[in-house]
Amino acid sequence: MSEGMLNRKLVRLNLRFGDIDWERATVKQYELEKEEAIWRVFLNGYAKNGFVVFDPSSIPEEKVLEALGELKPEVRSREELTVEELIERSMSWNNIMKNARA
Amino acid sequence: MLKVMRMAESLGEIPSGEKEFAESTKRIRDIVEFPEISEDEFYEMLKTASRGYGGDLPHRTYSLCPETRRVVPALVWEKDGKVWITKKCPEGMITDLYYESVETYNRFRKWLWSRKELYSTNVENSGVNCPFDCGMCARHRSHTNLLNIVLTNRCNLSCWYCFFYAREGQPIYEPTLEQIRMMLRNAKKQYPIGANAVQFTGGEPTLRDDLIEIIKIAKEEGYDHVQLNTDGIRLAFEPELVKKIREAGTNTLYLSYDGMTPQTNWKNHWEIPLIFENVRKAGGPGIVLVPTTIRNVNDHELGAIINFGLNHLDIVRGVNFQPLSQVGRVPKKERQRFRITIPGAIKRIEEQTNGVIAMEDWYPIPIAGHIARFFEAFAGKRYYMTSHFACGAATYVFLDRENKRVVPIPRFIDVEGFVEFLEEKAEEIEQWKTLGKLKKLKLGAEIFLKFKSFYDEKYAPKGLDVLGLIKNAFVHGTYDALGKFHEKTLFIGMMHFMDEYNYDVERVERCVIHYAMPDGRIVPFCTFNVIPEIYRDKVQAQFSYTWEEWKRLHPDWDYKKDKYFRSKEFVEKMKKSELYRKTYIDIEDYFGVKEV
Repeated sequence: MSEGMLNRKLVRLNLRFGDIDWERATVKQYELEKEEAIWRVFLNGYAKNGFVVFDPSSIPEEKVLEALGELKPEVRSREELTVEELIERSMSWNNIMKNARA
Repeated sequence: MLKVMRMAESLGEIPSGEKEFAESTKRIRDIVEFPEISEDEFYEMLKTASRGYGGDLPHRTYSLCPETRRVVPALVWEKDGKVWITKKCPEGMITDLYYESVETYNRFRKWLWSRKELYSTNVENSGVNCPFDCGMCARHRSHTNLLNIVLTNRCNLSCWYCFFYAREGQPIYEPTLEQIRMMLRNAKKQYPIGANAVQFTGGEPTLRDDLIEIIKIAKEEGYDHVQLNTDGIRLAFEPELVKKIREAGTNTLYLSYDGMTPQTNWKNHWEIPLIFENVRKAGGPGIVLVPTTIRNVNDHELGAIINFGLNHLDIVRGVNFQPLSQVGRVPKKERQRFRITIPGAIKRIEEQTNGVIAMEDWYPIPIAGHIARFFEAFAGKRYYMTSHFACGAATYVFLDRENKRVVPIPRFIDVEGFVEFLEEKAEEIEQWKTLGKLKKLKLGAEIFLKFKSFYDEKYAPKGLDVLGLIKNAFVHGTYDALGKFHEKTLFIGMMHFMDEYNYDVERVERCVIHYAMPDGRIVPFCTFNVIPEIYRDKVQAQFSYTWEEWKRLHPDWDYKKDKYFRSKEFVEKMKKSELYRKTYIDIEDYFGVKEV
């Protein structure tokens, strides 16, 4: 692991889509997931929302939005986080389903 | 008459298997003829196909397009006694073999497990875009039975077909001890059932100098079962290392073993006698032989491999066949030539063991889920092996040394009857409000007494307290009790990992063999390896050291020193050795298989 990796700054965009369906969402999600600079992505073709977590030092925000262009994305909110925070949030003990039940 | 064949072998070089594979595939014994199905027929069948896990054939599921990677509807259907999977991809219709026997498919289907056993998630993705939403996502149904952690992409071999290991100058992936602990803890904290078994894999995991520390960390984190997925080369030449890994708590060496000859098992044929000797001297760990099973390459040696395992039962705990997963773009002709599925492999075993281990002796993995339900009710222990019924199969065989007889468990235990009885008992216990000590003892005794009615003394192997072993495993239900059972039997398993051509999303969402990734996700085996560009390779690239960084951090390290060089002198020495003879030649033939 490269030094300083955990402190690397990431950006999360929470999105709403104006023109999306399951098939196009799946195709686009796969396309974005191949990018090393994109750390997490979920495009929900049914709920018409989603999010992308990316490394802005490797891929500018405009490029991410451009790639999503055909789905007519609208940025609902924007958040900065580090790789370490992303990992911590992913841990099983922070799971959303269990918390929802509590 | 013995036929002497000239073997193609890579001697005096780093083994890659290229020559041996070319030699093995010169002759084609049989190929799979894929049935033709028109687009109209496909859509017509799809309209009426069953939906939902375990439905009748034809059955509708989703698959993956090998070319465009689109998620496409797929049909699992029967023709000529076989089960096929067909999908309509943007570039056309693709059919592949799903199961070589519809009878086995239906028999295994009976033991499916449909209840969801995992309620924790590591990603916010809902699973609607499965298999691109891993993981674990809310859609996943099975907790981690075996957690895989890749310790390194360095390898001592240079397998010609492998795209995974680091070539000279390429980035090195090697998670830190802290990351490994985090990955272990992550799977351990799955809700409501945490992982209990971990496999360290690679590359070649024994290349890590801090391996002992890693094994100890796994134990510290509460893992009962630790296994190393290894080619065993380093263990052949470093007896002290075998001792150390055993002492640190390694339970199993998951040892690559593809065949009985230097040609079919080019990876470690010559080193196996030394590995076995070192394991014997160290008093462990137990060995599970892992033959990657390929039609027309080594599928004629399956019975012989089991026989080999039985001859070394003091150290070999099991043989786990892995029918080839043809990952990547594979032309139809090659798929027809190399494709083998679970029923095909167990049919060959039946033939090659002269019916001693028959097709009916095998059960699908999720039958263990039905047994686990009883243990949950009875002992409060929860561990559900709830993979898809088509993913794996297993049986146990006992060796009756007195009579030189091999006896599969189902020959003297009515497995189905006993499991059904346990399920009835589980249902009964689940109705009770409390289960006090006295009630539990009474119930244990009742089950053991009843068990005898499922047990046929006449066919049971002699000279072994089979009843005692089973009683111990059932009454105590602990990992140690299970271990004792394994020491006296040979586990024979089958695990067919998928590829793009037979990909079934219903199988993925029930996967029980997972990889922990350093980015906090836990991913099913068949997404990690089949879609590496978004899981395995991508994440490892994110967390790798550049070649320059690695060299700076390890100034004494030399790429060439990692590699194993098999000299002609070594092979000659082994050929003439007593150890080699004892390992391969002076062994019993338990199946009466005669050389032709």
